[in-house]
Order: sequence, then structure tokens, then C-alpha cells
Amino acid sequence: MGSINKVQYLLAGAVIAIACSQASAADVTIGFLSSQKPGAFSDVIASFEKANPGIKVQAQYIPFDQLNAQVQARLGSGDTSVDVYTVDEPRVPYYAHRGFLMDLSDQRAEIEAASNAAPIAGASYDGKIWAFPFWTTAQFLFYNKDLLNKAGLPEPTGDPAKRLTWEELLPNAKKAQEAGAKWGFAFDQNDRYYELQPLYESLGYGPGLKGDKLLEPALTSDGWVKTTNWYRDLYANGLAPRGVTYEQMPALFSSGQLAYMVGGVWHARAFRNAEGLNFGVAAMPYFKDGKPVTPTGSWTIGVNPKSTKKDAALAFAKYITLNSEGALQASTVAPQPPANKSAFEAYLKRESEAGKTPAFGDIVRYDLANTAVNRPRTIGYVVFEENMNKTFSDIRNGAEAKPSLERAEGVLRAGFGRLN
Amino acid sequence: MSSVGQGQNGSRWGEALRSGSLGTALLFLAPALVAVVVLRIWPAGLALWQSLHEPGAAPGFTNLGFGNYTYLLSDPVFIESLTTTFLFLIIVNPVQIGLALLLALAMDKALPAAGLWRTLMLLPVAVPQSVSAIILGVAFRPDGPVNALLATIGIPPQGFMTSTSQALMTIIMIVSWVGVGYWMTFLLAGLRDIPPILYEAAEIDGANGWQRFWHVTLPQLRRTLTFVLVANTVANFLVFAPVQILTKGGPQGSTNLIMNEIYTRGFLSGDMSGAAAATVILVALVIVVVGIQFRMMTERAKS
Amino acid sequence: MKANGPWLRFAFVVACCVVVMLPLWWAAASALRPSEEVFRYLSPISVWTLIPREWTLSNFAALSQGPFAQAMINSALVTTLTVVIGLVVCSTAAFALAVLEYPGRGVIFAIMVVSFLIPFDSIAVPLSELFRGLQLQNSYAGLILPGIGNGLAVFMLRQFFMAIPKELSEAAKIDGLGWGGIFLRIYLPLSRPALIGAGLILFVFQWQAYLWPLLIAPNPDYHVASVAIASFAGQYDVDYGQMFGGAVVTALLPMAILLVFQRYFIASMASSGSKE
Repeated sequence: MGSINKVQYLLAGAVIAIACSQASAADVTIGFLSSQKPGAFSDVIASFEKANPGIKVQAQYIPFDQLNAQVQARLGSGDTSVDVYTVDEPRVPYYAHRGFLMDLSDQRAEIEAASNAAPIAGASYDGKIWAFPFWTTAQFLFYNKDLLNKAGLPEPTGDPAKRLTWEELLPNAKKAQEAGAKWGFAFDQNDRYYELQPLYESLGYGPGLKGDKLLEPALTSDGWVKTTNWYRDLYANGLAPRGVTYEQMPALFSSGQLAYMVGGVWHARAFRNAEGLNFGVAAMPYFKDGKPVTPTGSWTIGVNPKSTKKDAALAFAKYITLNSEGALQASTVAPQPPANKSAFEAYLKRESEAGKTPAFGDIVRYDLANTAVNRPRTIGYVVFEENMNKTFSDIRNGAEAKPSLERAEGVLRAGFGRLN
Repeated sequence: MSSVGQGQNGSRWGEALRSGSLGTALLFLAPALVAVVVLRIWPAGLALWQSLHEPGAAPGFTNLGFGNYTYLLSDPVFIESLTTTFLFLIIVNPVQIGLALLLALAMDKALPAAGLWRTLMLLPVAVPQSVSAIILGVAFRPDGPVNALLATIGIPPQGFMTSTSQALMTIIMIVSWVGVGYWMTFLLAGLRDIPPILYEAAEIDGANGWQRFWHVTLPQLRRTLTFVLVANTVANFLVFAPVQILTKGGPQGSTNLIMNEIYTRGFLSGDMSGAAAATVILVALVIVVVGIQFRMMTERAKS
Repeated sequence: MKANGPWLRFAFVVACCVVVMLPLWWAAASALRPSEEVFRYLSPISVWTLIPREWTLSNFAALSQGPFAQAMINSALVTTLTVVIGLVVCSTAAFALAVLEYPGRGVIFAIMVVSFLIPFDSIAVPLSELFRGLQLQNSYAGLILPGIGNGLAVFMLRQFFMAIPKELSEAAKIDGLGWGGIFLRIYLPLSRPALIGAGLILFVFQWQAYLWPLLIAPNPDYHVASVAIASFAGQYDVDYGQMFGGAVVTALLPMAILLVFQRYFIASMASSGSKE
């Protein structure tokens, strides 16, 4: 960072001596922007700084829903105080297109040696690698054992090859609700495209975009409308709660008000710690007439092409992604499965043995190898996601499926037209 | 002021110089003027400049145009956000100012523990909007405490923010939760400045409570009311945080107020020049509306 | 008003205060619960909706140790300086616009009015570029500067100054007082309620600021309270206990100050006797 100016210096003296944290002149300090909670990366940064004397990492934490806005505003206006930052996989194409990401193709050999294939695909666009694969994701069907017992329902198996179909799950969810659960079933990210895309892909109806650049909306086919109505009915029939935001959904499950929840594997840690919660995990269901499909895609680490400290920035990015120790330590943050191969195995072992979720490793490994589908790789994704999330939210709250999807198509066409 | 002639103008300069008011004025005005021009007007000028360029185009004099404006004004989503904003303003301004005035009148006279009540009413402005929106969002959840409260008196559960017909009203309740106490404070200060002698005179004339309000309080409060009306209108034009946090403009665009529309365009979709054009349109609208309000308030004073 | 008038009035005021306080009370109660209890008693309504069934201070303990404590200090400092400097800057400008006479006054007033009609959040990006160029990123100056020149506060003070009879300043001039003296000795003492109002405007702008601090002060050493509180919201879950705890603490500090300042509202009654 630059020199401390006079006003600042005076004020600092008046309140608290911050000066003690100043780095010595020979050090390079890089800015690392992420949307994890403040302090989340402190440990891994400390390890990195120890292993790389002369480089200091200044972590900048942004609330999650502000990250995209911050990246657009700051990298878009040429801010060089961000050297490294976390990039959501499906945004890689758009950020690459806007010039927010450094081309990492010359790192390909190293990246491929260290990382799993699916997250590398998520960090690539147009034949080039734009970011270091960092984390990946998978989903569980979480169930509340006590609520199932009360309704006399069997626990779903943890074997991912014998997962439930939606047709089997929903009647059970209804029974659990009749037996006292406040809600039968819910998606935790209840209106996010990420978690709902598999419904359409399971039945072969496509991701909702077509064309060679995936810049044509395809939301109004009979299949899309039918599946959207299935989703709408979850809420219209009172099986799932309306008006609860996704941030409040895990609390609904951990406080024992929800029988089944499809949600990210990262919730397992918090649920283990929730007092009085007796839960288990199974694989995400699929439609009887379709094939099992599950969502995936998480964070990658990108480097600002305008960074003035690229070497240091690359060193840090590699440490938390390609270095297996660094990657494993960084995976305790979310906690999401690391993209790094050896850290991935260590992570699965740790989570499977942590208690209450012995099937953790089997399901995640199986799903990532067999059922995971990435979100569409297109520069229009940012606009697409924004509007799809709103559309799902409308439908969940009672809007008719077909007109909502038609409206979304119109908005998307206009939005895609503004891309350049 | 506009009809001042050349000669007169010269003498006004002279008069200002002689009385020493020109130098004083420069000295007194400079800090605020510099701050306002550098920190508001200049960046707004940049936005105006950007709005004249197609998205992604390099700024320059050769490629100017009104493409962003014609695009916006033909975009149903943008037009809808304008009409939603006006509907919002037409309801929220009278509600907030009416309630604030009622409360200010109630608190103007002696009241046990008066300072405490005034402070409590003002307290919501001290809570960051990002949090108060979440707190009230939970209150209005369909399975939340407001519906639970309604249930105890036999009213069926309402959709609130999940309903296209109730979402805007819910946002109005949420912004009023902060706004009423805030504007009440200004109105109360205005009431305190009305000389008691005017009321005494009215009482001698045999005016009843309503007549005193109509003939003494309201005219005397005109300046404060003008300020509150204008400031409240501007504030409500720019309502953003509760919408962004709670509804993101939905359901079905029913709460897509103009600032949320600008934010979505610029920050989420990355259409900075479209957002700049929308900002320019917004500022133009605010100037027109506030201008009308000024005129109304001053004409009422004359009549 | 009839005999039951005051009681009706009192009941109305108290009812409004209760409505305003309930959400904050619920947030405070939630901050004192274990985290999995936060949403447990929302519906149906019971005593446990508003009173924690199990008490814990863990959220406040965590707040005092985490980055929130520094953010609170930053907010208090930045806001205090904004209000103090802003009052000087805005009241002098308002005086020049209300009392002094010189050509171009109308234009300058128009600039002031237009300045507060511009949505600050939508000009924040170009402004942040300027600030970065001036090395004001991650500094208190960068946080404070946009708050001090507040057109709305100028407008409000001008409205008030215009209501003060000119005869007062003319008489003072005859007594040999300069413009500075007239401002300090006549206008400021008469304008306490307006100054409090302007202070409130300056305070709210800075205390509520969110987008700007995020843009210009991303270094956690310079986080302000609103940013620190919003940071309890993660990608997949939110630490509601700490978030609500932080909100309560953030509201308590201004509340203490407001309670003290209340008496000046009453004091202004006495001073207004000297007008008109």
C-alpha cells in the first residue's frame, strides 16, 4: 500500500496505534479480495507468509452479495489494489472477456498436474485457462432423523448409486409434514439457478440457453415449463416455505423445522455443531424418467492483469490452490471440497470421519465423477443468472410458470444485446 | 433575479464589494462549494458524458449519441421501474410526512419522559440499513411474527413481500419505520420555533384547536414543511438498500424502484453506460419534481 | 383539547414507539440467544419470541474480539469528524447564501440544491477513481470527505437563516460587528435546532454509508460498522446472532448521544422568543 498521509497519521495517533502492523520497506504487499467472512483466510495467509518471506498478503473481505459489484466497479475502473481475487466459476468467461483476468495458459501443465478435471473446466473459457481452480461443490439430501422417525419413514441410503427419485421423496416429505415437521422439503438455495439447473438437465431439457455462444434464451419449451411447474408446486402446495431467503434456510433445518433439504455439502459442519439436531446425508434425488444430475462449480482464484506485483500474486494464488498443504488449509474456510487432487482426498477423509456423515466422501466422489454438470460457459452468464434467480423467486412466490419464463426471455434478449 | 440589467449588475458588484460581503461570501462559500463541485457535480458530469457513449465505447467527441437513452426509454423493464417509483412516491410521501407531523404535534406539548420517546422514534436511523432491512424482512416473512400476530386476531396470513400486490406496501412500511421518526424530528424543531404569542393571540380571538392548527401552525411551519417534503421526496427517490436486500425488485418487478434498476444494470450486469443514462434521467426527474414542489409551497404562501 | 386529550396523545406516542422498538427488541433478544434458536420462536407468537429462552453472551463476546470493535471505533471517529467539519463547512455556506448579497448567489444556491438531488451511490465509481488517484484509498480522509459538503444540510440551514430577521444583523453592524461576528454571535446561537437538524443529516449520511466505504476502504483496518455488520452475511449462511448484536451496539452509541442532545430541543424554545 502507499504511504500513510498526514491526516491519516494524525487520526491514527488519536485513536489507536495502527502503525505497528506496517510492513518493512523491502516487502511486497498484495491485495487479496474475497467474499468469505472477515478473517476466514488468516491462517492460510499466515502459512503462506511464513513460507514466502518478503510477501505480505492484505486480505480484503467483501460481503458475498457485494462481490460482483465490487469486481465490476474496481477492476472495471483500473484499481490495482486488488492483485488476486476469488472468482465464481461461471463468471470466468465474462470476466475474461472484460479483461479482469490474466491468461494463465502458461501455467497449464502445473494446474493440470495438481487439480481435478471438473474444476479446471470451470476455470477455462475459449480454450484458455483464466483462473486457478480452488474449490468445487456437490449437494446432499440432508434429512432430519427425528422428524422421519416420528412419521415412521425409513432413512434414505447413503449409497449414491441407489439415490431416491423425486417421485419417491415428495410423498415422504408430505408424510413427515403431516406427522409434525413444519415443512416437508426445500432447496436451501431455493431460487438460485445453481441448484435448480439439475432439474432441467436431469430430464434432458437443457440449461436454458442455446446457440454456439449460448446467448439465446431457451426457457419456454414444454419441458422447461413442465419442470418449472413441478418446482412451483413445491411452494404452492405448502411443502416448502415461501418468502424464506436462502441465508435463512439452513437455520430452518438446524432448528428442526424442515424434514428434508437439498443443500450444499458445506452445511454438514454447522449441522454437526447444532445442538439437538439428529441428521443424515444422502445423494441428491433425480427424476424417475431422467438421469441423476447434480450441480457443481465453486470458486477459482484469478489474477488482476493490471496488477503491478504479478509474481507475488501468482505465488499466493498457487499456494492456496496448487500446493496441497495450502489448498487443504484453505478448504477449512468454507468448508468446500478443494479442487486440488491430494487435498480433495484428505478433505473427504476428514469430513467423513468428523461424525454423523459417514457417507460424505462416497457421495461427493461419486457425484463429481458421474453426475455433476457445470453451469453454461458464456459471457452472458452474469446477466443470465441475475434474471433466472429473480424468475425462480417470482415463480416460487406464486407467479405462473409460462408467462414468467416468457418475460425472462424478453429481459435476457435485451440484456444480451447490451453485451459487447 | 433573472431580469437584472447590465448597469444594475455592475452596481450590485460594487455594492457587494463595498459592504465587504463579496470577500466574506467567497471565504464562507469556498469549502462547501469546492466539496460539492468536486465530490458531486463533477462525477455526475462524468456520468452524463459516459451516458452519451455506447456500452464499452471509448469516450470521445466523435462517437457521441443518445443510443442509451432511446434504448432505455423503449425498454419495458426500465419504464416499469419508473412507474413503480412514482407509485411508490405518491404513497410513501404523504404517509411518512402525515405520520411524522401527527407525532410531532403530539410530542410538541408537555409529555412524561418526552426525551425518551423522541429518542426511541429516532433510533432506527442509527441502525445500518443493511441490518434493519433483514430484521424487518424476517418480521414480514410469510411464516414470520407479523402473520403470527395477525393470526391471534383472526386475520389469515398475508403474502407481504412474496405478493405482487403487497410487496411495494411492505417496502413502504419498512422505509417508513426509519423515516417517520427522522422527519418528525425536523418537524418538531419547526414547531418549537413558532412563537407562543401567536397561539395566545389566536386563543384570544376564540379559535378552536383545529383553527389554530390551520391558521397558525401550518403557515408558520411552511419553511420546515417545504424542507421535509423536498428532502423526503429526494430520499424516497433514492431508496435502495431494503429493495436490494429483500426483494431484488420482485416479485415480478413490483418493487423495482429506479435505484435498484440502476444498480442492477451498472453493478450486476456491467452495463455502465446504460446505468449512467438511467442516472441522468433520474436526476432530471428529481429536479422536475422538486421544482414543482418548491413552486407549490411558495405559491401557497403567497395566496 | 378535552380532559382525555393528553392521555390519547400519550397513548398514540407510546404506541408508535412500541411499534418502532419491537423489531429492535427482537433483534436484541436474538443476539442474546444461541444461534440455532434465532428463528425458532417466530411463529406462533409466544413470550419466547421476544425473550430468549436460553441466554448467552457469546455473540457479544465474539463481537468484542473480532474486527467489529475496530470498525465501531472507525465509524465513531469518521462520523464525529464528518459532523463537526461538515457543520462548519455547511453553516458558513448557508450564511453566505441566506444573508450576504452578491451577484451569482442564485446560481450557487442552485448548484447546492442540484448536488443533493444526485444519487451519491451512482456516482461513487468515477469518484472512487479520483480518490484512488489522490492516494485517498484506505484512509480516514477518503471516508470523511464525501460527507462534509452536504447540499441538503446547506439547504436546511439556509432556510432557517432566512427566517432570522435582517434587523438583527443590521443593528449589529451599526454596533461595529463584521460579517464574521454577525455569523458567530447572532446567527449561530439562534440556530441551535437547525444546527442539530443539519448535524443529524450529516450523521445519517455517514453512519449509514455502505457502498462508498466498501469501494474506497476495502482494508479491514478501515472498515466501518455498517460494512463489518454486513460481513456477517456469508455466501451460504449468515451469523444472525453477531449481526443483530452488532446492530444493537451500533444503535446504542447514537442513542446515548441523542438522549443528551434532547435537552437542546427544549432549550431552543427559550431562544426562539427573541425572534420576530
